[in-house]
Amino acid sequence: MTTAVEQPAGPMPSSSPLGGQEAEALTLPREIPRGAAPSRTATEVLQGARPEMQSDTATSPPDDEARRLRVRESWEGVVLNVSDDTFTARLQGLKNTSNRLQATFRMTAVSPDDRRLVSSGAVFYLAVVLRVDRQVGTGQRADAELRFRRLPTWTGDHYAAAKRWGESTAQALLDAD
Amino acid sequence: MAAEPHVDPDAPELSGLGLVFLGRFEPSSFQPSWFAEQDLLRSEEVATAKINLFHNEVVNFALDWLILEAHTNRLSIQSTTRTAQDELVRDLAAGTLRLTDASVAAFGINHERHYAFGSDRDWHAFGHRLVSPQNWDSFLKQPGMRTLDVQGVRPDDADGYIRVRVEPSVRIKQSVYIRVNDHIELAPATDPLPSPDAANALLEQWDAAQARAQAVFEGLLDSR
Repeated sequence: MTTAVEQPAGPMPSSSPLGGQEAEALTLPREIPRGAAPSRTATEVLQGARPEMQSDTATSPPDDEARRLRVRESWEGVVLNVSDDTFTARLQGLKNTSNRLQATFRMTAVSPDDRRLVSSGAVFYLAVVLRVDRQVGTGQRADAELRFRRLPTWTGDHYAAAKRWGESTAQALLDAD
Repeated sequence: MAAEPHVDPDAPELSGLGLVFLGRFEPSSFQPSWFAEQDLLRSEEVATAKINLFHNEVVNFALDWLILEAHTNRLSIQSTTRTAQDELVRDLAAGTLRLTDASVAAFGINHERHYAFGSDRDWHAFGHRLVSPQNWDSFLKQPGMRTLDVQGVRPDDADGYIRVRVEPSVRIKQSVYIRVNDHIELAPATDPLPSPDAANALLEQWDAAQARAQAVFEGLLDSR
């Protein structure tokens, strides 16, 4: 199973503080009377430590080195027109946006799950990748991955539904009074 | 001192994206089958999802190209070493936020990379450039940079910060790990916004966050 690239958090020596604002007391009394909280460190008192919302990644799954994927080039495409067994699209490089071209794709290049998404104006992503399958013993092999975008839009229908729900709920509350 | 050789910022050994949302979530609603029902993921890949944890208060499942973990106050969606495009992770996060009944106070776009240097000498030279041992060796024996966190104010009108972490890579020898946390605060933690608003904010910030992260990687690796 391949995994994220997050840096695993290394073991912290027991005598090191956790960090400036979050530093805990390095030692605690052996017996803390009930109802008494451990004393705060000088750091916490002086800095008036407040909770901070932190949005950095925290988990660190192991890396499956034998099955890494290296992206050579990636594109965003927009379908121009569709026939029975092919579709034509305009492509723009994701890393180098000045790379633009038009190409025709066979429908067989699209995953069966994605085929119903193929329509004029549909967005897809194409990546030329090198697969490092050391377990298989083939070294590196080039491949292409094509996936259609799945991003629901927040349409006027959603707002209308939410408005109707809100109105009916408000009416129910008024009727209950 | 000899100059460091140039490390190409566009050629990391490993590259990843992590999106983290802070707010109020219902973890039990994030089961893989829901994503297939909502057409956010392919049915074929949901069928083979590895569910690591499923509980009212925490859910964790993995596909080939992503790992999702939801707590009551945090949702994270991370790429793996088999993710072809970060945009797929972004789209899944935005789609999920548009369709769930959650609320979000803040979120972070985390770009992570591991860069390899050609030798111990070059690897140490990079660390010494960021944290000079001469500033430490009068009171520490053989000082070395373990973790460096630097935070900057946001260059736009949004609340939050840009925080960069640099440390020796524990995955790859003679390499460094760099993470850029592009953190945006949408609302107070006590009064988060509906999750579709966070989806829109993520999509609006995407290009600029990519550019900021790229500037950090290029700036740090510029040995001139």
